[in-house]
Amino acid sequence: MTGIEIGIISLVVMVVLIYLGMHVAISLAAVSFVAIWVFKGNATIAISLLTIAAKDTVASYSFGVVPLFVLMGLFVTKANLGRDIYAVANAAFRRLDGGLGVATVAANAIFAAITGISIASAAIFTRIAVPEMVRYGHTPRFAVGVVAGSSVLGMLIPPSVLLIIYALIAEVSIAHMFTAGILPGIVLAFLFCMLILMMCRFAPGFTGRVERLVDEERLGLFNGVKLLAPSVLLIAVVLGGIYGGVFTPTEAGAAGAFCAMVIALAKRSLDLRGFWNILTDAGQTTASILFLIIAASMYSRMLGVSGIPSQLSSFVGSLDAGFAFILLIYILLMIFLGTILDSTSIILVLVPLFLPIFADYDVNLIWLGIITVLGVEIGLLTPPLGIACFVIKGSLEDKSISLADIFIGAFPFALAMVLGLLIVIFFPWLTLH
Amino acid sequence: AETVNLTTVSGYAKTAAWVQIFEDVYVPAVNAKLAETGNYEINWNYGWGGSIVGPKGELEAIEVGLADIGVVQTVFHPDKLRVYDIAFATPFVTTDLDLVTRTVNDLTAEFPAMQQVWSDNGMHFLTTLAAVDNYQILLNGEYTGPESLNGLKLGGAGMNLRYVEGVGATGVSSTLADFYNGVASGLFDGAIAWATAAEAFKLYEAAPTYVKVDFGGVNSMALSVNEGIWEGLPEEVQIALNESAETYREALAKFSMEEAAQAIDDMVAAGATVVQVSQEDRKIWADGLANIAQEWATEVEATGAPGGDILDAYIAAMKAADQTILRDWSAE
Amino acid sequence: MPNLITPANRFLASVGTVLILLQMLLICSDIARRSLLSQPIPGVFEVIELTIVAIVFLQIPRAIETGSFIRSDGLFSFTQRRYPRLGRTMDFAFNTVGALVMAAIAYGVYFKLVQAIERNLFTGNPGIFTAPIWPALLCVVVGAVMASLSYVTVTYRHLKNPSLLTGEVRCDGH
Ligand code: NA
Ligand code: NA
Repeated sequence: MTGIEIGIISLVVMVVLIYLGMHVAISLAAVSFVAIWVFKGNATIAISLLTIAAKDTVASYSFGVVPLFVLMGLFVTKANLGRDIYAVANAAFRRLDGGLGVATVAANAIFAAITGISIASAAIFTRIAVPEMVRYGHTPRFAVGVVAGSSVLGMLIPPSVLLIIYALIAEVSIAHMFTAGILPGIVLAFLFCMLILMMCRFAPGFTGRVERLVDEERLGLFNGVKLLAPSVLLIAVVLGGIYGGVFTPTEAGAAGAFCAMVIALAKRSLDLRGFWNILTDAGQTTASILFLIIAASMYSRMLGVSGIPSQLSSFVGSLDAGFAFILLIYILLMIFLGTILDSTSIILVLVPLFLPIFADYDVNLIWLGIITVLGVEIGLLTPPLGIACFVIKGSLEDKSISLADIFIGAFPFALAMVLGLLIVIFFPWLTLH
Repeated sequence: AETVNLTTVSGYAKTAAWVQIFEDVYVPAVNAKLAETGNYEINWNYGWGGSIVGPKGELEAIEVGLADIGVVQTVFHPDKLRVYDIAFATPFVTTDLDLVTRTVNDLTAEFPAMQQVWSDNGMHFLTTLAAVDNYQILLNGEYTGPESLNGLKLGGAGMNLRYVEGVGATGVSSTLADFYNGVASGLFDGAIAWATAAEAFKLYEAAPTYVKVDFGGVNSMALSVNEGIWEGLPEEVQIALNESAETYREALAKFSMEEAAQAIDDMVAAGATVVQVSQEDRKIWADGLANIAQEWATEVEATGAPGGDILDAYIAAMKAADQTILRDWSAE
Repeated sequence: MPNLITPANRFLASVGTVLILLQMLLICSDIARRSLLSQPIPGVFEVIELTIVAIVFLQIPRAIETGSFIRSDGLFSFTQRRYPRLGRTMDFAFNTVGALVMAAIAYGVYFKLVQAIERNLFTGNPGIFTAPIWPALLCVVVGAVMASLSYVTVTYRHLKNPSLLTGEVRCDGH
C-alpha cells in the first residue's frame, strides 16, 4: 500500500473508532500500530514506534511542568480563589447578561501571560470557571465552551510555546513573534466577549440565565478587594517572577503551585487529607492528558514514516499559483490537519514545507506566524481530535458533561477564531510594530 | 532501474543547514553517481522536523528501522557516542570545521573502537558532520576582560557549560530556544553560542556584546544508516552513499563557516559590538580550565576505547595542520 | 487477582503523586538557589524530563481502572442503554485493544530497560550532571503492564456485573 492510501484508511478507521467510544488515546495508538505494521510489513518496527513515542514524546521540560500547572489550578480551587473571583465578577457585571463569561475570558487572557501552553489554561479554568459558571445558572455546555474558547488565548498571548516553535523554524526573532501575538490576542479576546454577550442575549436557551444570588448582590468595595487580594497576590508573584527575571514561564508552574499552596494553607482551607487528594487528582488528570498527547504523536510519527508530509510538499510545490491561492491552501490544510493532529505537529510538518514557497512572494514571516498559530489553534476546538476539548473532558469533575457537549459548546468559539484569523489576514498591521 | 526506498530522518526542519545541504548536496550527489550506470534509483522520503522523531530521537529511529538514514546528533548521546565528543573536550584548538570533521573521520578509520560504537547501536557510520563553527559568549553588559565575567550567569548547553568555569562564571543549563528570553528577562547575563545561532535567534538583541573568545568549532553530528538496511543494499548503492557522504561533510563545513562570517557582519550591522579577546587572555582562560580533555579520555577508556590514544592522535593531527593550539590537552 | 489490581494501582499512583510534589520542590529550590546564591542546581532539566514520563505511566493504570481516560461517550453510552448486548461486546473489544496496546508498549520498553541497565545509559552531561535512565523506563514498563492488566480487570468486572456499564459509563473498582 502507498503512504497516501495508508493515511486515508487510517484516518477513517480512527475517526470511526473515536466516535464509537474507544478511548481516544487507544484508538490513535492502535491505528498507528497497525498502519506501520502494514506499511513496513514488520511488527517489530510497529512496536518500536509505540515504544519511542511512549518514552520520548513528553520527556521534555515544558511537558514536565504540566502537572504543576494543573496542581496550581487545584490549589487555587481549594483555596476558593475561583469562587471569590467569580463572586466579585458577578457583583461587578451583574447588570450584564454574560458577565461571568466575559470575566472568564478576561481571567484567561491574564493567565495567558503566565502560561506557554493552552492545555495548562484549559486544565486550570475547567476546575475554576466551569463549576462557578454552572453554579450561577449557565448551562454546562456554554460554560465548557467559554473555557475551551478562551484557553486558546494561552498560545497567542506571550509567552507561547507555539510561537517559539514557529520562530525557530522560520528563523525570526522570538521576541518579535511575542510582541506580534499581543494585539491579535486582545482582538480575539474581544471577539469572544462580544460572542458571549450576543449569545446570552439572543440564545439564552443555549447559555442559561444567570441567577442573582441574593446574599452576594450587595458586595461592597471593601469586601470585593478582600476577596480579590489573594488572587492578585498570586498573579503578581507569578507575573512579577517571569518578567522580573526570577524564573522562566516554564518554571512558573512550580512557583505558582507553591504560592497557591501557601495561600490555601494560610486560608486554612487545606488539611493533610485534602492536600493528598489534590496531588492525586493532579496526577490522574495529567496522566490522561499526556497519554493522549503521546498517542497523538504516535499517529503523526506514523504519517511521517509513511511519507505523507513529503508527498504533500511535492504536491504543493508542483502547483503554480498566486499568493492568495497558496495562502488559502495553507490555511485550509492547517484547519484540516487541526482536526486530526496536535498543534505542534502541524507547525512542524506544514511550516517548513510552505516557507520556501512563501519566500517567492516576499511574505512577512511574523505576520505569517500569527496566522499559522491562529489557524492551528482552531483545530484545538474541532472534532474528532480537539486537544483543548479533551483536556477539559479529562479535567472535569462533573463526568455527566459529555465530549459532544464540549465540542458543541466550543463550536461558536471556533467560528469566532475564524473571524479573528480573517481580521489578522486583512489587517496585517495588527502583528507589526 | 531498480528503485530503492530510503526514509531519511532529522529532528530538525529544513531550515537547519545540515538538512538543507542533505537535500541540496548529498541527495543530488548520490543520485548523480547512481545515474552513471542507471542500475539503481533512490526514492527519497524526507522525514525532517519532528515528523518522525524530534532532535535526540534520530539515533533510535535509525536503530529500530523507523528511518533508514539520517543525521544523528552525537553530542546528545554521551552515554552511547561519548568518543565523538572529542572536539567539545578540546577547546582553544581549532576553528576549522573541515579539518575537525576530516580528522574525526580519519580517527574513525584508524580506531576500530570508534566504529564499534555504531554497530553497538545498530548503525553503519558514513561521516561525521559539523555546523558549530566557533563557540563565543554573548553578554548583555560590557566586556572589559575575563574578570568582567566573574559571578555572571551564562546560559549554555552540554559540555560548553564548563568553558566558563575558569573565569568564575556559572553556566546555567538551558536550550538555544530559551536563551533570548532568559537574557531579556534577566535570568541570565549572557549565553554561550555560535555566530549563526546567535544571529538566527536574534540573541544579539538581548545580549549585544559579542565576545569573541574563540573556544573553537566542534563536530556534533554524524550521518549514519540502519545496519540491517545497509547490509541489504546493493554494493553500487553503498558506494554512492559512502562517497557522497564526503561531499556532504565538506559542503556543510564550508557552508557553516561562511554563514558564520556573514552572521557576524549582519549582527554588527544590526548594532552588536564585537570584542576580540586578546591572545594573552585566551591563554589565561585556557589554562584556567580543568583538564576536561583528560576527563573525557578517562571516561572513554572506561567504555573500553583507547581514549588517551585518540586524544593524542587528534591533537597531533591539529599540530600537523598548523593550528594555533593554546593548550596542548594531550601533553598533560 | 482482580482484587489485587486496585491496591497495586493505588500504590503506583501514590508513587507518581509523590514525584509531582518532589518536582515542585526541586524547581522551587532551583529558583531560590539560583537567585539568592547564584548556584543553580545541576540536572533539574534532566530530572524533570525523566520524572514526567514516570509520573504519567505510574498514574495510567489507576486512570484506566476508574474510567478517567478520555473517550467520546455519546454513542457509546447510548448503545449501552439501548442495545446492552452490543454495548458489552463493544466494551469488551475496546478494552481488549487497550490491553494489547499497553502490552505492546510494555514489551517494547522492556527491551529498552534491559539495554539501559546493561549499558549504563544515562541522560545529562558528564562532568556536570548525569542520571541513569533505567528508573524511568522501569516505571514505564511496570505502568504499562499494570495498565494492560487494568483493562483486563475492567472487562472482567463488567462481565460479572453488567449494571456497571449501563447508565453510568464510569466504573469504579469498588
Ligand atoms: Na501565553
Ligand atoms: Na481538532
